[in-house]
Amino acid sequence: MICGTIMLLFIEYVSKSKSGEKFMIINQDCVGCAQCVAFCEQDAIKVKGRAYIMEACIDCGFCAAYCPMKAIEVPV
Amino acid sequence: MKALIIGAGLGGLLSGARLARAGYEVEVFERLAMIGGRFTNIEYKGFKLSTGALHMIPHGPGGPLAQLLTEVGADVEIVRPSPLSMIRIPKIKGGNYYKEGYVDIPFSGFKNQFSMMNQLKLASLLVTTRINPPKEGTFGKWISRNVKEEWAFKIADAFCGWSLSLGCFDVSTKEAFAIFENLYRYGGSGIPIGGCRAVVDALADIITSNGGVIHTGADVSEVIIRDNSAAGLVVNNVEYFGDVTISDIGHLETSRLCNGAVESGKHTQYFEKIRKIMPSAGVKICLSSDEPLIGHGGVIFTPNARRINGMNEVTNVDPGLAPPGKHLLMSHMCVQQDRLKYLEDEIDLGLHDLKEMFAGKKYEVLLIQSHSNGWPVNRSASGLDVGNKTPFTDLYVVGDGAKGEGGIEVEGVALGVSATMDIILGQGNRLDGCN
Repeated sequence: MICGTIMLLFIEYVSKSKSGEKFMIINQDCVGCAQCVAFCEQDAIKVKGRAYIMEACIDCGFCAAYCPMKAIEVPV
Repeated sequence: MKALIIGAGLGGLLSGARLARAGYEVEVFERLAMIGGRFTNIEYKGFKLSTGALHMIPHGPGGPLAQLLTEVGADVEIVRPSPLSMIRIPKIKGGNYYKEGYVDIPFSGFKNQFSMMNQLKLASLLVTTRINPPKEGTFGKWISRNVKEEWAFKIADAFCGWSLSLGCFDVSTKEAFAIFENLYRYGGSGIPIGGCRAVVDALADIITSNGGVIHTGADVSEVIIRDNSAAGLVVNNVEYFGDVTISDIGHLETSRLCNGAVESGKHTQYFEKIRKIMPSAGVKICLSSDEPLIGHGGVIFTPNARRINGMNEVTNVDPGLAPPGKHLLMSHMCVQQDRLKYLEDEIDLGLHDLKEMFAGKKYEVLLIQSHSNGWPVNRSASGLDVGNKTPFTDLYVVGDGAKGEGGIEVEGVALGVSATMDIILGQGNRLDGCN
């Protein structure tokens, strides 16, 4: 059962990576304060009223530590 | 004596520094990876932008914040720009926004824009309202009753929008006149050299050099209430106990940490009161340019813009806030609560204003920062504050969710902290301001 779940998560991870889809999710609590932008070393976040993750994101999760709204969900 | 502080925003750090200087053992818990909350710098493309507040202290070197900084021994230089504030009016009287150009006039010239009749009325009101400040209703309604003229609403909205991120109909008359009185008493704004961060860093230094500790990444999950008193905190699953607890995260957010103690039974009156506290919302648009767009460090109020309430170019006072050869302009616009769902449209209107005002000038939009809900301009819109006490002994709330009367933004935070220190340390316990 556990092995199966891990396998499924792994398959999802590989397929997302191949499709270029990002794992970081900005949820609806985002207010668009842009604090994340300043701490993103990849320049991969754009903000206008709310934040948008761009293609250059490497899923490092650094931005989440600076998000005051806990609006950035980092993949585990 | 030990003080536990929730949140390393300006209110938390001011309280921590004051208590550390008074001999308290201070421990500050900040959930983010950085300190300063909405009053610090963020480095972006070589510019020192700010997390929330503009790099400005509303009453400059003579105000409540500057006084408190001196009292705790925080070494921050606050420079009052010249001119202090201007009003941008359309070149052609009654012109459409700033499309046909503009003229900047000194702030005191706002009176001359009224009809002759209202100029006379205003001259008399400026005297009588100081002797007997009006207190009823909203400031907008007061204007409707006294100087009903479109210009009055425009200039009042620009002032309230820039200073409080509220429209004039959302500010109480009592609060508006308390603010005017503070402007007479303390004077106009100043720019902290090094930006907001210079202030919070100086405060953090005072806390740590007096033996205090500031934890980052420290999420407070509970205020331990025993016998109706705050006994301690649970932080990242570890219990800390202290003699006094100060929260810098607002009344409602603090009450949520009290494990249902506020909502239950005898504190329902307090709970009902704090539930009505509304935050204020706004957008700051930061521009960079090679040539100055304004050319001085004072505030420019823009009453004829669609959305922008005002702006300042701080690099004319502190060039260190931008990379060499660059300038930083910060504009602010208030966003009404019912417009938050159309935030991008509101931002477009603000961008359009800037485009019109700086037509023919070369600039880049650096960053657009919006503040609302849980990360607002002010946790408690001005005039809605309920004070610093809570129903529990040894638990106080400071910060922009518990400002002092008539205190614009961080000045209100400083007034609230001073009032709280008077309760904790006893009045007349002011420090001499030695380093």
